[in-house]
Parts: sequence; structure tokens; C-alpha cells
Amino acid sequence: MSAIDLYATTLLVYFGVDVLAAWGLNLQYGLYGMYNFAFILFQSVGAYTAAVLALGRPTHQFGGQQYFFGASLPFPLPIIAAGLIAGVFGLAIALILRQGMRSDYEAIITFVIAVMALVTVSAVIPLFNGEAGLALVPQPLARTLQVPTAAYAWIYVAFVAIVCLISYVIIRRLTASPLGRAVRAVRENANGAAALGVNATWCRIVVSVLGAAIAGVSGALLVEFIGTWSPGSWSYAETLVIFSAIIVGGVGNNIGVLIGVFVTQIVFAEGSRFLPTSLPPNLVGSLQWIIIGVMTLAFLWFRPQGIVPEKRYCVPAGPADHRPMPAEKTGPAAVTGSPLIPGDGSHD
Amino acid sequence: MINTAAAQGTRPVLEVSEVSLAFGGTLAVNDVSITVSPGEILAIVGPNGAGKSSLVEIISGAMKPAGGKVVFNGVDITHKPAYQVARLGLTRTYQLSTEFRQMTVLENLLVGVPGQRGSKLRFALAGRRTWGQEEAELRVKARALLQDFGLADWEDTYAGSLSGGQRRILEIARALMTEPKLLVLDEPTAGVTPSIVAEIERFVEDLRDRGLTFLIIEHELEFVERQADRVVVMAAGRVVADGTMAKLRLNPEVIDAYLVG
Amino acid sequence: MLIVPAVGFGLATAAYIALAAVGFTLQAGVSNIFNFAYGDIMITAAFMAYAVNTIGGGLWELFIVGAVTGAVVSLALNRLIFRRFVRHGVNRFGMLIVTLWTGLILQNVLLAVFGPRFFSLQVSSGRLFTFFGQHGILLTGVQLISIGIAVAAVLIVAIGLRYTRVGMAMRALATNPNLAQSSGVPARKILDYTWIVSGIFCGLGGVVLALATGAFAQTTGEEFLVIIFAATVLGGVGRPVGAAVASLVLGIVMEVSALFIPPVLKELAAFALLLVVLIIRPGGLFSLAKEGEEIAVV
Repeated sequence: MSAIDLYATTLLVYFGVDVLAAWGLNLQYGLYGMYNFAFILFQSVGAYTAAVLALGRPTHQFGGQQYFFGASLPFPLPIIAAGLIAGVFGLAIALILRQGMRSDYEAIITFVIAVMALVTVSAVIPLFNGEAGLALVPQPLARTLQVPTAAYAWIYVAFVAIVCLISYVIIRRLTASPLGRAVRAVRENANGAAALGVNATWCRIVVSVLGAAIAGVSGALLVEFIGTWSPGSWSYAETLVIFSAIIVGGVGNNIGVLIGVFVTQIVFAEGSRFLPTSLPPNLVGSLQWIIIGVMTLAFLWFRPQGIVPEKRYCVPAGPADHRPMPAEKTGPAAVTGSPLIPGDGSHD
Repeated sequence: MINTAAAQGTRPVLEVSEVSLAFGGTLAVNDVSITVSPGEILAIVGPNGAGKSSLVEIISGAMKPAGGKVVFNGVDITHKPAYQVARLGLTRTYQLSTEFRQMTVLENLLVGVPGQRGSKLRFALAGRRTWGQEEAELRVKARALLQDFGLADWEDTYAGSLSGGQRRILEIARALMTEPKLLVLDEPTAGVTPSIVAEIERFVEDLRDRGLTFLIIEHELEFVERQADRVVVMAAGRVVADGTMAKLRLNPEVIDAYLVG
Repeated sequence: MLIVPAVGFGLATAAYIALAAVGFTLQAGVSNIFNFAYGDIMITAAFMAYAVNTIGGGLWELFIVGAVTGAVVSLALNRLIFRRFVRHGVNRFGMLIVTLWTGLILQNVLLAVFGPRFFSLQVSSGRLFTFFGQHGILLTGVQLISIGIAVAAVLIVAIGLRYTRVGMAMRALATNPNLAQSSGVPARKILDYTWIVSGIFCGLGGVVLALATGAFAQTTGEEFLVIIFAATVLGGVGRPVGAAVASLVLGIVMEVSALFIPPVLKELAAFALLLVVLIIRPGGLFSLAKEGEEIAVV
């Protein structure tokens, strides 16, 4: 496979995976208003699940990888299982984060959970091979397809694109539906929603499970392509990057989020290109993080609604209505259109 | 107009029996019992700290009482969560209005039908074709309500942009989407202009004529005088008196509570 | 009977947890912001101490440099970044993102300047002191000094909060910012003092952490943050003495549990306890901080 093919396909797969993860977080944070700093765990759970279900049973040989359970399931079972298991974790988080918790306490709780998971998996080697992580995860259908590596890579890219498309349709349908509207109502004002009969817990469970499942699938897709997964890939900073992508792109808006992922990915992938080559490699890495951090802060300051703000869910005129659309009237209380900036008083 | 009392028999819509609620060492609500009959407008009045708001929280399911029972149309709702109480037909409004600011006025109303098809996960995921029809019908109903309440021109505006009085009216209109059997209004006249108060009075009378039962928590005695059939006076967590306004005016305890509280 | 020496280790561990936690809880209580960059400020102080160490600085110079770095960086970050974002209208969660990224940027600046490896402070540990006999508590001179500094710090804060005007003003701001301001408390100035004081403890904590853990890296501060949370929450947000007591308990629990479970997992016990408390009573056991209040905008 040529260098261009390798680079392009890897970049595209990463992009698709990151977009899926960001859409998942956007469901939880943008639509519902959940402050989940353990989000990357969903992707990680999915990756580990798919990995052990594709690697086969642990061999228990000296020097071999250790993991607590394994099977050699054919495609697409590991990916489906990844989504399901991640969904279960999503349910757990939804139940742990009670209604009406202050936002920073939600963030702290999930942060602590994320750190605990990292410490546990790194230290307890029989679980998932500790710090070294899992490797040699076979690519799905690689042998049955019998195509050259370049062609396989591009087929995989197409596969990721299809999964993205399906996820997009699912998320759009949910968001545009009355259930999606109920979720947004809970985000806006939980008391008001409850007084109208909306079951906030169910709303929370739905977005949490669905968001987690999508993230889990994204992890599975990634691990089955690159073949490895270790704790280095899922520190809390990774969740922070996804939040940044959402903030930059546009909270609550899936196309905006896609753009946000694109922008942040560009910095990581291409950022090194624009920096002088005389710089030592670790400096480049640090600079990339600093750039993303500064960019996030800049957007929070200047344009908190992101590049593409949350769109208004227009309720179209039905066939029986013969009314002209009135001009919008604005009152004294301006609405900033972003959950990060309170309008005329915090809803927090 | 159908005489609802006769039609439904005299079973009360709401029966609150001996409820109590402790709050940081004191009893915010102390052994309170009230009943609301079909078609009546019952007002609960009392000075600040009398426990009126706590009582509403208990009735609407937002808080669990330490003791006592709340029965709504024959169903024990004492320990039911707020959203279930709402779905049974008891809808409340809040003192600080709880409109959904970043949603349009029309959308605010449409949230009020949590039982619709599109709110169920399987139909939501199946797509608009499965719930679009019902949604269209609900839109018509919502628009009619907006028309009644004078908010029709503002249907497409973000609720956060409305004035304080309009938001109060929106909350009432929204509550009506749930087709409640009992509407609990928590201090509806607080912080709004007299013209809005007059509008709210009109709505309440109108709706009562159509058979809706009201429980109104209120500070403003004149409003209560004009609207309420019966008044319950609370002070320091207890019910001090219960009866028509005329009767209460002669009650020394009531005068005491209001002068002191 | 290894429990007694373990308790001794626990005391040494508790020293730097307490220093860090007292500063953190003071600042969180008064400004009502959870500063997720705190651990990174700690480690910045450690790196400054390292720099001084390489040009020949001794133990006391390191402490001073650490304290000053902590105070300066804390104050600067609040004035230049945090306070501005709060006044700009960013809500509580937005501030979280701001502090998180500030910390991460700080980490990466350190990475760029010092490079990605492990560092340690070259300071002689001093004599070994034994208490309660040969199988009793063993502490090095440095550890004793650290404990001494921690105890002194807690006492200063406790007395200062109760009896000085600035201290009382801090408590007023912590309990009821609006009332305090309208009663004439110069909120901005008091907040500045709060950041300076908490910054001093942050810096000292960073140096003691570096001394205690032997080898540290740019990420050490962020990893330590959870323990700081644990001590803060368990002691009650905004209650420095509570944080100190909680640090003592945590330190001893962690070191004693290291006798029974793999040492790497000893922190998990602390984290699990923290999690349970957070879920059941987020304010901690005795808390000054109000739930759901606006951040004090000053």
C-alpha cells in the first residue's frame, strides 16, 4: 500500500470514528445537558469488547497478551457487541447521575470514574493487558475478502462512512421527534418538563445509552482497523478534546460538530506541517495541544455557540393552516443560543 | 354548562389528608388536610413561610411528605414522582415561570403532550411518517390555544424573548395542553402587571365554566376575593381556617395570622 | 506488625495531601469555582523548584520558590483568565472547561520547556527518626519538616479564618457572596488574597509532593487532582480544617491498605469512598458551599 493510501485511509477512519464519538457526546451534552467527563470510557469499552471478541481466547502463554475473556467471533458480531456493552455502561452512568445535580459535581463524579477506570485497567494486567494494551487485533473479513491492503483500507473507509450515515439518520430522527423535543425541554427546565408529564429519567437514559452505544461502535471500528488499543488512547484529555470539538463546531448541531471535529483533527494531523521542522518532536506535540486549548478558550470567549449554532427546530405550517409566518419579535431578554452561556440568568 | 359536581358525584378531585413535611428541624407543613371539589376554585392563602409552597410541592409530587396521604381522583399519589402525577391530570405552574426559553412558544406547548406517539422511542427512531399525523393534529390544537390566550402572533418566538406577563400566560396555556383535571397555579399574579392579572382572571373563570377545577396559591387577597369559591388560610405550616371569604373575614384567628405573619 | 510504620507513611502522605487540599478547599469555598488546573499549578511549582535545585538550591530555597510560584501563578491565572471568563458570563460548566484547558495548556508548556521525562529533586532526606521503638514509625528529616509545614499551614489558616478581618471576610464571601458584597466586603481584594493564600499552599504542596514521590512528571499534578477532590469533599467544601482531617484519614487509609492490596490500587479505595460520598451527598459531609448557586461575580 502506498504512503498516500496509508495516510489518507488512516486519517479518514480516524475522522469517521471521531465524528461518531462526538455525535454521541453531543446527544448527551448538547441535547440533554449531561456533563459526562467519562465519555471516552464508552469508546474504550467498545474498543476493548471488539478486541477481545476478535482476538480469540487468551492463550495464557508466557509473554502473551493477558485478557480476562476472549472469543473469535466473526464480523460484525464484535462491533455489535461493542455497541451493546457500551450501551450498558451508558445506562449505568445515567442512573448514577441523579436528576438535578450541579453541573460541576456531575463533571467531578464522571472525572473520578474515568480516572478510576484508567488506574484499574493499567494496574490490573489480567484484565486487558494493562499499560501495554491489546495488539494484533485482526481486521474483519481481511482473509475472506482476499484483496490487496490498499483496496481493503478503502473498503473499510467506506464501511465507516456507512456506519456514520446510519448513525446520523438515527440521531436526526430522535432529535427531530417529539421525544427529542422532550429531552430538550428537560435540558431547558427540568421542573417545567416534569410538570407537563415528561419523564426526565427516561430521557436521560435514552440519550445516555444511545450516545454510549454509538461511541462504543466507534471504538470497535477504530480498534478493528488499527489493531491496537491501550490506556494511552483514552485518558480524560481525550474527552476534553471531544468537548472542544463540539464547542468549536457548535453545540447541539450535528453538522457543526462534524466541522468541529474536522477543525480539531486538522490541528493534530496537519499542525506539524506548518511548524518549522527543526523543532524536536515532543515540542510539536505540546504545541498542538496548546493550540487546541487556546482555540477552545477563544471560541468560549468570542463565539460560544460555535461555528454552526444550534438550529431552530421549525414547526412547519401544516396543510390546514393558512397563516403567514410572522416576523420574529425580540424582547428585552436576549437568548444567546448556547448552553454554555446563560441568557438572562443561569438555568444551572 | 354541565354541572360538574352533579355529573361526577360529590367525590372530591383532591384529598390531602394530614400531610407533614419536615425541613431542617421545623415542620414546614404540619398535619394539613384539605379537599378540592370538582369545578371549584380553591385558594390557599397565608403569609410568607406559611408552608403554602411546600404543600404544593407535596401535592404535585416534587417532594414526599413525612406523613399523610394525597389522593387525586381516587388514586393515591403520595409517593408518585411529579411526572406521573402530571400524567394523571394534575398539572401545576410555578411561581418563577418555567417556560423553555430556547424553544419557540409553539414548541413549548407541544411538549405538553408526553403521551403522543412521537414521544415513544420506537416511533421516534422509526421516523416522521409514524408520528407526523398526530403531531399535525396537536399543532392545530396548540394553535387554537395560543389564539385563545392571545399569543398567536408569537408562536414562532423563542419563549425567552417574551415579557414576564406573557411568559406567565404561556405557562398556563402550556399547562392546558395536558388536558388537566386539576390545575394548580402557584402565585399566578406574582410580579405581573394588573392588566395581566385581569387577563389571568378571565382565563380562570372561562376555564372553570368549562369544567376545570383550580387550586390557586395566592398572596394577593383581592384576586382571591374575586375568584375563589372557598379559601384555606395557612400559617406556620398549619391550616388556620377553611371556608368562604365572607366567613373568614369574621374569623379572629385569620386576622391574627395576617396581621402577625 | 507493619501497621505502625504504615501509619507513619500515612502521616507523610497526609502532609502533602493536606497542604494541597487546604489550599484547594479554601479557594473553592470562597470563589465557588472548582479549579481543575490546581494540580498543574502544583506541578509548575515543583518544576520551578527543580530549576532552582539544579543551580544549587537547598531544601528551604525550594520551599520558598514553590510557595512564591504557586501564589504568583494562581493569582495570574485568576486575574488574566478565570475572572474574565466569569464576568463574561460563562456558566459553571464553562468555567470547568476553562480551568481544565488552562491546566492542560500549562502542562504542555512545561512539556515543551522541560521535555518528556521524569524529574526528581536532589535533596538529602536527612536523618532517619524513629518513634515508638524500632518497629514503630520511621520518618526522615525531610518528611518531618513537611509534616511540620503542613501542620503549621493548617493552624495558620484555621486561626486566620477565625480571628483576622481578612479571614472573616473570606468566610462571609464563602457563605453568602451577595450579602457579603452588599455589606461592604471588598470582594475583589479578598478574592485576590484567597488565590494568593491558596496558591502558596498549592506551591508548597507541589514541592512536598515532588519530594515525597521521588520521581515526578508534568502529568503528576493532574493525576493527584482526584485525591485533592477526595480530601476536599470528604472534609466539606470550604472547610480547611475538615480537609486537613480528611487528608490525615486518607493518607493513613491509603498506606495501611497498601499492606493488603497491590500498592497501585491503594488510591482506588480513596476514589471509591469519594465517589460514594459525591453521589449521596455532593456537598460533602459538612459544607459551606451552596448547591446550585451562581459563581460569585466580582
